[in-house]
Amino acid sequence: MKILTANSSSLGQLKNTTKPRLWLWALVLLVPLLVINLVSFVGPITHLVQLSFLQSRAGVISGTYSLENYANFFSDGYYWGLIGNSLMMSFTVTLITLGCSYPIALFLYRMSASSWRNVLFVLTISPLLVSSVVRTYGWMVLLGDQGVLNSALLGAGLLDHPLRLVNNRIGVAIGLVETLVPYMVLSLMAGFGRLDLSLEEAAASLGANRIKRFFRIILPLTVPGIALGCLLCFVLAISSFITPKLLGGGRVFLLATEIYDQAVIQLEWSMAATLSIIVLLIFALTLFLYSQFARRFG
Amino acid sequence: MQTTLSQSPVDSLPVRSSDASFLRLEAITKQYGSNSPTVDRLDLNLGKGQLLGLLGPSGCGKTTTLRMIAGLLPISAGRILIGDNDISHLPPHKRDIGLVFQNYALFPHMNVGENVAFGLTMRGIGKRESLRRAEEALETVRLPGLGKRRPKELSGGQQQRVALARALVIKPRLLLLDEPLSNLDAQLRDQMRIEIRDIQQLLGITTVFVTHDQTEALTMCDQVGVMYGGRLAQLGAPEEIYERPASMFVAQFVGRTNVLTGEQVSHQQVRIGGARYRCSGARPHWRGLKIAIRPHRISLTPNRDPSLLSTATNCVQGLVAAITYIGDVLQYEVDIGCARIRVETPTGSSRLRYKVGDLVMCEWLPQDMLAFEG
Amino acid sequence: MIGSPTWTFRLLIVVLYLFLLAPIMIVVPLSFSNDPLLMFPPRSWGMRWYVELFHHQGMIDAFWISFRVAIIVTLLSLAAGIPAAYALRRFVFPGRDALMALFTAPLLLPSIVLGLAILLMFVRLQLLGTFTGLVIAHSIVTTPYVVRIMSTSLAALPPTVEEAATMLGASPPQVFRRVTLPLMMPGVIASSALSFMLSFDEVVLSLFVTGPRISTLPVAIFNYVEVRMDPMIACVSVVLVAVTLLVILSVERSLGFTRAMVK
Repeated sequence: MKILTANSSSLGQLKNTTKPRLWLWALVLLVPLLVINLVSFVGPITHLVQLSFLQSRAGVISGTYSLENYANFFSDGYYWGLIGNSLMMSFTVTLITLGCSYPIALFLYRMSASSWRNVLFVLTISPLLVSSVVRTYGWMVLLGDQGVLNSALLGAGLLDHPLRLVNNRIGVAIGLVETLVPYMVLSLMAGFGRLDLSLEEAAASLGANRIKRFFRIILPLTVPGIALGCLLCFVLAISSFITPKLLGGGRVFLLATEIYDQAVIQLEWSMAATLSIIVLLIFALTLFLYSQFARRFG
Repeated sequence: MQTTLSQSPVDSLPVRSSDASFLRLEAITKQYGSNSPTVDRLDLNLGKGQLLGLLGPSGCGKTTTLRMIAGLLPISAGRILIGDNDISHLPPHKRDIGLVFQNYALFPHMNVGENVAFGLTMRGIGKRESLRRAEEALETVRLPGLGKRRPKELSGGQQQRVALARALVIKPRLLLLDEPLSNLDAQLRDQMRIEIRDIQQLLGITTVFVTHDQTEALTMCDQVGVMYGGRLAQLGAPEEIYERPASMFVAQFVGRTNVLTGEQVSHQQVRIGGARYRCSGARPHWRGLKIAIRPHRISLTPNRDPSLLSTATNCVQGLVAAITYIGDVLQYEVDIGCARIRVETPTGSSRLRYKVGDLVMCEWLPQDMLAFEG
Repeated sequence: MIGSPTWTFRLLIVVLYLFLLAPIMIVVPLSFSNDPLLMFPPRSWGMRWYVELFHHQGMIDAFWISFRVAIIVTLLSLAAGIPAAYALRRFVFPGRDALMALFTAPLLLPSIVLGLAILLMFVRLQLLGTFTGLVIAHSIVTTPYVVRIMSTSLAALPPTVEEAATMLGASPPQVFRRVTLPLMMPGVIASSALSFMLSFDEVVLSLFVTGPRISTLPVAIFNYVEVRMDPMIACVSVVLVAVTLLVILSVERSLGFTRAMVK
């Protein structure tokens, strides 16, 4: 019996055959993107991993493969401090972001479809559409010693000396929360699918008041969305760079800022590569924890 | 395979018998990898101007067959001929076949006129001329003046007509319809059934129609091909399919039927649960015997002594076990001892009605017993 | 009524939105300050810093670099992403899922790591501080989105519509040009807009691959605010936001932005 012998080409036929000629067509269509991906993704990442096992000094790569960089990393208290700072910062920021995003997500989810809802939705994700340097600059203006907030508070006589809100962790946290809220809101709303108003009505008819309804019905149903949003925000926070760099004013030391400094200022490429791998390992660990959690509650 | 003289149930026009077959499928096969074939060496001849219904349960290979005729699926083996041309390996856009899809597949980015004119444009006909002919085609399907509308703005029935007009305007050699009525509601379906048949007759276009609905197949088609497991279980005129099903599968799939197990006694007699009945058609070499009787071919009469009845009919005494009222018929479940059979009688005040628990006589003619091996 | 928000809840929402939008809203009034230094509220108003901005050669150059990079990145991502999405959706071949994962993987990687990796690679390829280098680096950020959007848009396109065109006599190239492509247009528009904005606003990767000779607008702003705080950056920010708004509005006009984003 002859199978797959037709040699005419048509859309219908493309779909269920694996003839060599069609293979070639698919390849031709895929090559441009494959090249881009190879040059600016697969190649660089492979190189990065490689470099984390080599030594470099002032931009010159030398030495043989070894675990020296990793040994240096784990034996240096400074780096342990960095990891601690980064984890602590990301954790705090994620929690605050969740607190800020949940009401917005719930409000948007409950709103009936209307042009108002669309406007609010666009407003919610608008920070995503505005360059992070612009928003960070905005925060510097708002929170600086002579910034809008301090000027207002001093002018009103509520303070006698300005609050220190930038060039420290507070500033970085504020900036990060604002950056992450859109992501969190989108994740939460994606996870709100199971939230049906009739469930709340049922709870109310059974005698649950507003607060009990929230904690017994709404919150448990939205746990998957919360988990997803927290995962996303945590990994984004730990790898964010612009906000800590500018709002930290060089006084907040995190993994991401250290990678940049090592690579661009000190030209310690190997150490920067090692730090990057550490960040990726933290990512992997977070993802693993999330998948464990999702399996249990999802 | 023979194309018989038959009565078209819709318009009662005698259909021309034609020996010169127009569409020929010769042992066409579709097989994916080493799985058992989806369509297995299917042979089929269809005369010019005839309407063939491919009828079968889902997964029987009817849509695969249609798509192979259209060229949307390559055939694994066999030949497809239209007239004297072998089109087996012609790409679909060169086959000159009109296809109406189940979901209509109207182009959402074009208006109705542009949709219908598309095929003409593809044949190098100028835009104005195409649109003029498209408008004509829309009149044929009774949608004049809707050319500027978007497909989305039309009802399901209207979209169906646009799809039909689009397929017909290119004057294809063959028209294929893939379950065209399945997305319409019941009333509209009846109406479209008649309209499609009328247009097909008017244009005299050879048509293959895929459906899983036996009413559609029986009422619209000159020929019905019942498919099962990738093969043609039977091909014939609607009446032939219904009255003389070639297998128990066809008997059960087309129309309702009672199935009884029996054994052959002689050339003219079978035995079912101890009683003997006149029945021809069974063969002695069969390993088992199954008898099919249509529920409405059995008549119920008041209980009386069987010896008083004519020996020309078969009869058995039974007990009415259940009655269901279905509007146009009354359905009785009658217990005849060895089995429970279903009997349907038309409703009507003049008819005698029985109650649950009544003893009745079930009578039927010998030729209404269909014998099959199994 | 169950589910309707209380007034305190509404107030909370308003405060949260103010917080969310404050840093963007504050730059608009500031950009019209005439003060030599950043002060709020400004002592004097005017267009002084806009004038300064338009005479600041570094910023002007950076703007045009960003603009040109964004245009070329958009075209390149479409040219590479659409065929790839088409191949992944319409052909069946082994390794299809793996390729899809590979193409969207750059989305998952933190840009600081990706930026460093590209820096180290580009040092060897001598692409550092070049226009080409910028374009290639940006493309890795934009192509995952293009592939995703286009493959969703192709999945939503019923194959029977293409088959219908085939049956009406359209050859495969004709089917693509007359049916497939027009139906992919919403996806193409959304992809273009997103690619342009992502490239135009990209900072982290740009910081790694730009050099003293070439700088994009976000990088120029970054370097500027690291050392000085004056209202000029507010003016640049307004320009940046205006460009973004322009892109959004043009997309909104052609297909409805929210629809494109939500999809």
